[in-house]
Amino acid sequence: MADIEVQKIYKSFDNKKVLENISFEVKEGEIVSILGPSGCGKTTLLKCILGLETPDDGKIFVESEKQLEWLKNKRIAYVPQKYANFNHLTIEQNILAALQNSTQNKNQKIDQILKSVGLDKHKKMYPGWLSGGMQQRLALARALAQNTDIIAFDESLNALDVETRHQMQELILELWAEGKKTILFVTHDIEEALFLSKRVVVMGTRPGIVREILDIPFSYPRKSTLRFDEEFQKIRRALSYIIRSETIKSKLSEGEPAESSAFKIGLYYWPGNSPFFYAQDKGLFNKYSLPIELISFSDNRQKIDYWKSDKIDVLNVTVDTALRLIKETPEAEIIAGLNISHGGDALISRENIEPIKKIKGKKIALEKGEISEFFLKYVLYKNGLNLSDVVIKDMKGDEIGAALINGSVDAAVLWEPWLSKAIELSRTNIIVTSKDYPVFADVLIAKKDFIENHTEEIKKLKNIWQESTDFYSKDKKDFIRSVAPIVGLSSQELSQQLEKIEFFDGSTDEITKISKEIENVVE
Amino acid sequence: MTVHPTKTTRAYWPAIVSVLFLLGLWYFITEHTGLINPLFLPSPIKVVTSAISLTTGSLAIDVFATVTRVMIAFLLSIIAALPIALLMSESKFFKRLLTPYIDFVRYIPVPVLIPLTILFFGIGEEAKIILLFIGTFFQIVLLFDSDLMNVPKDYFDLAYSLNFTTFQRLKMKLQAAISEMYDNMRISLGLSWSYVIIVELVAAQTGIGHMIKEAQRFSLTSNVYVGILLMGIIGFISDYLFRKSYVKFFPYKK
Repeated sequence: MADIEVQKIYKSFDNKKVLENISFEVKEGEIVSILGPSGCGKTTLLKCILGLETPDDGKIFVESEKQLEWLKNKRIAYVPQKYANFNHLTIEQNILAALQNSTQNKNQKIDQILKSVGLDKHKKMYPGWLSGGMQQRLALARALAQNTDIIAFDESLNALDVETRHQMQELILELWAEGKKTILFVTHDIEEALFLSKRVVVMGTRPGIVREILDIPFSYPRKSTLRFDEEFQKIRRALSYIIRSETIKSKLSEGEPAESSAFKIGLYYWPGNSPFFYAQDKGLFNKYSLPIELISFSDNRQKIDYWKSDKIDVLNVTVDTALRLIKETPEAEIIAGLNISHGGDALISRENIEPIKKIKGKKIALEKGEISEFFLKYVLYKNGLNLSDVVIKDMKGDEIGAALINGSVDAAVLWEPWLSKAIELSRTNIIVTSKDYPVFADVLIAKKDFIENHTEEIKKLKNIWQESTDFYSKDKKDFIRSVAPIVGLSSQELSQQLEKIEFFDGSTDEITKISKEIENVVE
Repeated sequence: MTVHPTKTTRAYWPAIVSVLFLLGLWYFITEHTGLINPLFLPSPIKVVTSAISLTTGSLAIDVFATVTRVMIAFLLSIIAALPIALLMSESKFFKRLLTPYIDFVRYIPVPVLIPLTILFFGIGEEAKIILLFIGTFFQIVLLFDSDLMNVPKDYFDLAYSLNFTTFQRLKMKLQAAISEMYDNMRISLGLSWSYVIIVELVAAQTGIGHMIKEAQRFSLTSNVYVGILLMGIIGFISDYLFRKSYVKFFPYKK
């Protein structure tokens, strides 16, 4: 049974979207963390669940009951970060505040609860006289005293030093093991989320969305040494890349430079960029003393907008997009060729369409304005057709596979990682893949004035790319082991997907050829 | 606003020394130089003897009258201001309704109202207390309201998650704001002391203000000085009591 179920929550303040389409659930007795950079809306989300804010749209269920019904006589215990206790009440009175409606022997209960958090000697003191750690222990004790089934923490341990913080986390786990309450934990601390939770809901920013829901594979009880576990560190690194990207993005959208001297590269979320991540992991950027920010975007239009408005310096796009952008902004120039896809994208269909000309009039799902649209355009062009010969359905990557399987479209353009999944789940036919048309390459572009002022740095960047791809061909295993957690894939998945990618050495020779080849189609 | 109680007597030394120095200077100038006409500034010895002769007279009655007036008006102001401020902090409607009136009255100087209060209430005690009340009540309502509004929103979130009843929530709100309100009472009391003198200067048969006015009539400058010093001392003592009791009442503010 799910204790908390959040379904498609939306929330705006003054026309500014704060939460968009948030869905997740917390099962009874689970510890679930909501992890995200500051300003991603996690506190707003929590307040919606607590009943302190009302979402604009969507549903929340608590213990299988509609939230508003449930809140009529029950509450979720709450441990906030600031003003976690009533400072005008003594320790004892603070606990008493949670016991007001209780019928038990209050004094006995107070003693017992305070003892469990080690504050029984300080009953008559005021919260303000205690250390930060003790204040949070008091807040925890009060939440426990409330005797609810669910406790929510909002960045509760933020102000504590690392040692105290770890102690508190262990105390929370200890007390949780005794009562098995459901715990919802909001934090921006990756390690904290990992150490405590069974699942982590990773939020992206502006507006707040669920980026990923991660199952944490460690069993309880968890020892403090888990923090040094290799697997633990691996997941931590993967999450830290996502959070880092989201943090930079949120700063960029506010118009502040994320880090002034570093130059910023906006990347796709896909394994083709692995050499950059490997380079970062192995410290190659430091070796060349090239300060850099790698920012991964799931929203490619946002990525392009940021580049256009000079918020990021170097942009990772496919060749066709590069050509289109160069046409729009003549000062743009391709500075490096990165890789080419050999089968990572494909046109698939439910029925066998052979020869391709028979595709005329079919309904095809794809993501408009993206490489998948260009892929279809190019395939059709090569077969004497064009986009107006088919019916296009604009969808997001994760929706396309489902549409194909349930039959609402006849064919689809899909790419990894969804491509493998769609093929696995349905009897689909592969009509063509990018292997048949080797023109889907990734490049880096930049504006001319940037290129002129940074010739040295761009040279270094290419060298780093080359060195990193050399490592890949020399020791694939080590490469994959380092990169897989960063791009959020298992080693096996990454290695399969890398099979379908060929890395360039950074030079633009191949790109020039491809550009000539596809020029007509782009026009 | 918070009060920082002085912990060691050493902290008082600068004040004590400077007061002794000023007294000495005053004594020297008036007794040994003749630079200033004693009608304007009598010597401290003259002031002290006047004070002693006054204490055998009606001084005690005057002091008592003044202090009583202030206390009654001040207590009434607080008793009336508390529920109104609470209402304003709870309801936007009441705040919008009352604020214009409060702001209007607040800007009317108390002495302007003296003729009207005499007309309505005569020259008895009621008139004086009503004037003092008007002078302080509207200030205190605003200060209380702002103190109540300053209770952190997080406390209300906490109260909600603890499933407080309305009564429990209001109690929490008052408890959370009471230390600030107490401090603002101290400041408002200062206001009361100045209004009471104005009122007594104009229309009163007793009180320190009345005493000063009488002294002025008979050119007893030293008595005027006694009155002025007395006011200062009373104000100082009341402030001191407030500060001392603040620490006692609100130990968590330490």
